Amino acid sequence: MSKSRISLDEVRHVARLAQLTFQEDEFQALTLEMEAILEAISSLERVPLAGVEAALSTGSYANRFRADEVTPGLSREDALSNAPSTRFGCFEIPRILTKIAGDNPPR
Amino acid sequence: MTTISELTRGVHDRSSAAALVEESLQRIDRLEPQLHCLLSSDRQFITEQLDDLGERLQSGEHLRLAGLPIIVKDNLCIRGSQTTCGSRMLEGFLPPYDATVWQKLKAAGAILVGKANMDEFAMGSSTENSAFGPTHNPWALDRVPGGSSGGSAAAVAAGYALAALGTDTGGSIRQPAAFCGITGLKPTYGRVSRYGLIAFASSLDQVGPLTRSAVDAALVFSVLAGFDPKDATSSDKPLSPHFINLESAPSLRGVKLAIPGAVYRLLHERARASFEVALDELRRIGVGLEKVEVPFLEEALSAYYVIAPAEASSNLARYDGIRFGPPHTTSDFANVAELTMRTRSTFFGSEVKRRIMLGTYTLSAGYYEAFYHRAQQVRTALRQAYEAIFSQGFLAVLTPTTPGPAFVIGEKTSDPVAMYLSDALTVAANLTGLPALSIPSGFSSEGLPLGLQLQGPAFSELDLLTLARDYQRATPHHLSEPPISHCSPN
Repeated sequence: MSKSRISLDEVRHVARLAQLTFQEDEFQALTLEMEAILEAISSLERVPLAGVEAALSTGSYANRFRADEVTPGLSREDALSNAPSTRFGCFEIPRILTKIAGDNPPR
Repeated sequence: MTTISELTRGVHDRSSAAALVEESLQRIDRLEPQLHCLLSSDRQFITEQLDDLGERLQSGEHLRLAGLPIIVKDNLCIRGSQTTCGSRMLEGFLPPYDATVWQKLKAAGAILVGKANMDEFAMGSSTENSAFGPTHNPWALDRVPGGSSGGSAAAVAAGYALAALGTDTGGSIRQPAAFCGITGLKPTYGRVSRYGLIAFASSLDQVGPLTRSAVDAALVFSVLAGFDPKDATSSDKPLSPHFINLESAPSLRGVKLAIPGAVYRLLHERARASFEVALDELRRIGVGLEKVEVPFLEEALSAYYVIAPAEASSNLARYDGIRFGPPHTTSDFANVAELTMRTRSTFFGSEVKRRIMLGTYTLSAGYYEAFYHRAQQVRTALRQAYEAIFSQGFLAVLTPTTPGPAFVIGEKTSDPVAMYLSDALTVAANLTGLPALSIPSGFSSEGLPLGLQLQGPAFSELDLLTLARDYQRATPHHLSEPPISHCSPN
């Protein structure tokens, strides 16, 4: 391996995109692991693929329409049943606006 | 060996079903401390299922799998029954709906006796990536059962049940079936609904059966397969009635199988002799064997390790700590971004994070063309290569399922690339969407089970299973039982 395929800074950037964070030593180890994996899959760079179409699906499928009928879906209770935090029948998340007038529940 | 149809033939009421289930539970209680195949086994839920089944049998319903104890991999949703996907991210998750495959099994009279251990989010080849500890191979407790459906495979090998469901994204049914000495079928992409399967890589994932024999695999497959309006990629191709009773399917004549040259470059020394013996056994039942070169086969693994992580990075974005995840108080977090990042970083295991990182990288600006696009081109080229082989009159492509037998627990955990190599011979079927079957084919020089893999044209499951049935009629490999199954009750 002469030139490295991925740098520590790139790994940090990708982690931000993936909404993950790591300890400093984990970032270092991950950089080496990703380097090794990217090296292992580098055979992709060498195969002759000119003119080969990229697969867009597994097998061959045509779009299939269903009848536009109303059918029961998940109830609100069911949809919220596995949420880490709920309030007023909604998913609860940390405040995204700074304090505005009052602290009233949504209507 | 008892088949599923022989076993269920004796079930005509609640008590005869309960007797089968009791036998299964006793075995689970006895062997589970050593094997750890299961993540849950809910006795209350079993009682409810038996009550329901009893009523249906009493009303005269004829059920294909009446009273059959069954194990389901823990990435398939069962309403009200904990489904963890082997992850702390979903610890305590109670699905609000049933996977279609579970609805079908339930409708056919099967009784869920346990949810099987697995690599976290099905990412792995050894079940060591389960957040809840590894499963041990019943043939050698210090070895892995394979993965990611390792709990399912080990449970069937150890006699917990005659059937289990697994899922296969790059070999996750076939590789553990081979490592545990049982039969495993990855159906054609689209044959079995993915509705209610917690997604890993949606264009590769398929659900399928793990059983002792091809005859049993066919029967369970007959229940699982079929069109589902809830899965847009599911196929409405009709199913042959022979699946229900594979014994009735006529034997195939003049079968020719293609063996890729790459097999001989990948196969481990200690698996070589057994493979040659299996080839002789096939010749003896009239199967013609020819060596072929399959272009792009050796690039398949590279393409797989681009496509699967790419799809995973997108699928696993839904674990944002808001809709799923361990309970928390929102005031513990400064903002949504911090909540999401801290939840994901804490509750995903290292292999899952590694694959999300890899997938995010290969899909990111500047790298997409070099990785993802080329991987999708390999996918097309590979499918064309397989079609060319089938058009020359080959029934299927034959390989060993894995380059070698089950490895020792811990042997490959620190080297992701070495771990990925155990999928070298299985990933092509997922990339092409083709059906593939693994059957027991004997033992390595150290006495560990090995498997043969058949990969056929799309929707050729009946041919693959019929050939496997003929092989199993002529050979005893699928009848071998691991030493642990003879352990006396303690």
